Amino acid sequence: MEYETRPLPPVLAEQLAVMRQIADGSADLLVDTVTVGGIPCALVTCEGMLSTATTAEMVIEPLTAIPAMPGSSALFAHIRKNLLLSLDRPTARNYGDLFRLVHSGFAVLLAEGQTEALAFGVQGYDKRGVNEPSGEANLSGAHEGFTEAVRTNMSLIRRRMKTPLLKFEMHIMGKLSHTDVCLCYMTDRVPPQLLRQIREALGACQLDTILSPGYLQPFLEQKNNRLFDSVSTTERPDVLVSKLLEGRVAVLIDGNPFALVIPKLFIESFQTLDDYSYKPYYATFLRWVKYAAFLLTLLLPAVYVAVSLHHPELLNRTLLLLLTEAEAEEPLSLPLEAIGALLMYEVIREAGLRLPKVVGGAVSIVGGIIIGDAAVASGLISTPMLTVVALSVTAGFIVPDLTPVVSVLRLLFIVAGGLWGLFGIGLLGMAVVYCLCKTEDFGFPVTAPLSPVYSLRDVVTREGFRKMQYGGFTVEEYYEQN
Amino acid sequence: MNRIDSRQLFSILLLSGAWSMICLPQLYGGGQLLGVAAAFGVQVFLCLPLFRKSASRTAEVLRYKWLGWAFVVFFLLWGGRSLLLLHRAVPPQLLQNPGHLTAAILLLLTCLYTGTAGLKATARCAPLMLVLLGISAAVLIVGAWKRMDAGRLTLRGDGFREGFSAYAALSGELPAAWVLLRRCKEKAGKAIGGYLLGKLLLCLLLLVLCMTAGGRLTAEADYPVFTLTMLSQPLQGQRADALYILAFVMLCVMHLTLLTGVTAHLLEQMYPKIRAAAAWALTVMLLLACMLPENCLAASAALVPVLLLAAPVTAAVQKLQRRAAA
Repeated sequence: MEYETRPLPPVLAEQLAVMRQIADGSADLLVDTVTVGGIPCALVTCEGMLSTATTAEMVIEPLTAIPAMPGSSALFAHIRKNLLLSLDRPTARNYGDLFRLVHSGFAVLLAEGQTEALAFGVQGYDKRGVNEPSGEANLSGAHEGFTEAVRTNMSLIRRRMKTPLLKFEMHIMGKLSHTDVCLCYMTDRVPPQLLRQIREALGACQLDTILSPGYLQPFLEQKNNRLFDSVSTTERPDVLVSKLLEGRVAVLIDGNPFALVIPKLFIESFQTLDDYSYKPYYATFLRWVKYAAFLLTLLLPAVYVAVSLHHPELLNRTLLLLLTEAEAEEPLSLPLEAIGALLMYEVIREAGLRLPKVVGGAVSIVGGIIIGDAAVASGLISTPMLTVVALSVTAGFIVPDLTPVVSVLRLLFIVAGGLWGLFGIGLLGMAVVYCLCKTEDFGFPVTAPLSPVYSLRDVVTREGFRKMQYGGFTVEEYYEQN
Repeated sequence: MNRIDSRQLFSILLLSGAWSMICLPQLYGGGQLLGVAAAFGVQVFLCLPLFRKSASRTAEVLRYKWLGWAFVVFFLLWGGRSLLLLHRAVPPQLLQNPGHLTAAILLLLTCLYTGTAGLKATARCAPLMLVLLGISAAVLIVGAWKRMDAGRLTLRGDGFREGFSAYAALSGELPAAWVLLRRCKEKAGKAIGGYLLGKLLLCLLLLVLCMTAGGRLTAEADYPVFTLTMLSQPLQGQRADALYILAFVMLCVMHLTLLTGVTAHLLEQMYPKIRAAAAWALTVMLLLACMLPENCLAASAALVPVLLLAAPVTAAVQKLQRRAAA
């Protein structure tokens, strides 16, 4: 923008005239002219972005009490040296900085004869409080989740990591939105090349606005046409801290309660904070339940279709008779039945997600009970197929992180299984494994530590903290030199 | 391409070798055990240069175009042989659903994708697939257990020559080891030693299972491992063929992808401007499988010792020339 680098003129009237011209009568820009220490000044603020009580008490009162000054330079020097009006006191020298500060909730003081403006951090806009995260619930961990305010999120992390080695690096992104984007890392653990590459990747982003992590994620993933994510998200500060300790980099975006974490490992989709609260034997058991659930959600309908259609010899006699009887009256072929049932689930899920919560419950009743029951009663879908689909969908809830991948792949596996039996499933499975194996970003493969094989103490089992406390692990171990 | 670690190198070679082993003909006879052991000894001898610490440096001689081309030609022939074997060896019931032609097309399409994914993806995929191979081997043993009759196992009998030649033919991965060695800087010798030993144990296991569990059925079968999988069923009411089908498909893809990958890697290194090298390699393999007679493709195994020794000999000659020049 043209105005962004335009310097502030020394004449106050001209400063205000240009400001008003740029703001073009915007209703939220408040300009109050006042005499401070005998010098004509103006206090510029943005309505609703700052705390009026704090501004009155911490800025206006001390300013009006300043004795007469010989000039504006002396006034600014006095304010800088003798008054601590706020903790955050940046200076603006052009209109770009001035508007950014005003719109970020600063009170900005302009004075006659000065080509710079003093800003006081008195932000006090309304924001949501710290609540339990909606998507990453756990039983025995903290019940705090990120909020939309990046500063609050920074404080949530800092409370859990009081070392100066934890660094927050603020960037302003979005040509129009000027969104605060905070890079967060442990200086002693982050691989330097990773940090450098992430800074470069963020620098390449020239979007007008950053409204959600999805806006930045494509810039942080070196190849975007991949099936599997190489950047993870979390809304839990405790989870984020554990990842920072492993040398990863987090990106916090103002206005969004999710943090992006780089690099991501595939195996993380099966790890939750609760795993580290339980006894190792139970955590290990749960881990394997999750692995099995993943295979079940991905492959069960496809294997059911493939075995029923192409390999009935793999079923025992009782099961074969049961399935034959159930499917004999069905008008649709098995693959179509499975695809139909899964698509029906996806529609109901999406409807439940988008509608208001009150109506969402009704959708579940209509979808789950009425449609499900009616579909079986009318003979459109057989009971075994509905059971298989329900099992598969329920198993998918255990690994919510992989829902997008699973939803699509499950359908493809059904098609492959329906057309070519287990041979088709095997081939597609191989292609998917290859797709997973070639996914990497910034030199970190998502398949680590399974391949390349490293310590599997938190993969095959979940060792106790007495053992885990030794041999501090960082993701740098997984870095594959290009 | 990124580096390959020793476990990945071991896994790639073993999986690729395992697929060739599944397609072994005439795996029966006490004499074959001795033949296999003798062939193993010869392979270890030929692989001695690969065990040297400086082997990865020696492998750099593959940058010479003439040597690179020799390896490329071998991999193309070996790939063609594998495709032909796929067509001949796999019993119809295994591929009854897609049919042989559709199965071949699907397999080639998958290999086209996996081949273009590069050697790095193949290397990462290999340890994961090794788990599947382990599970399949365990199920095979459990299933065969009930049918096993130790009385059929004897070291006497014919088959020394067949055993020797069959095991010697399981060596298509060894030249690939030279190519992969350039990316595996640490413990490569250990990985190759592990592969040779693992392959021997797997072959002996199959031989013993074919003799003790398969009996006359495997003795008369053209491709006895397939017969053995049909006989080896651990559950009474249900069959475990599903697992074997999956294992077979995945091993086959790994095998062809390795050959495609190393060929493409060498071609890209010799001609950096080349595009879609993996697709070209796979196409040529397919054409060779269709055009060349089976004997000619099978004879490519004779190139293995030549190629295994070509790299160290070239490196030694180069060293001598440098000394003479100095």
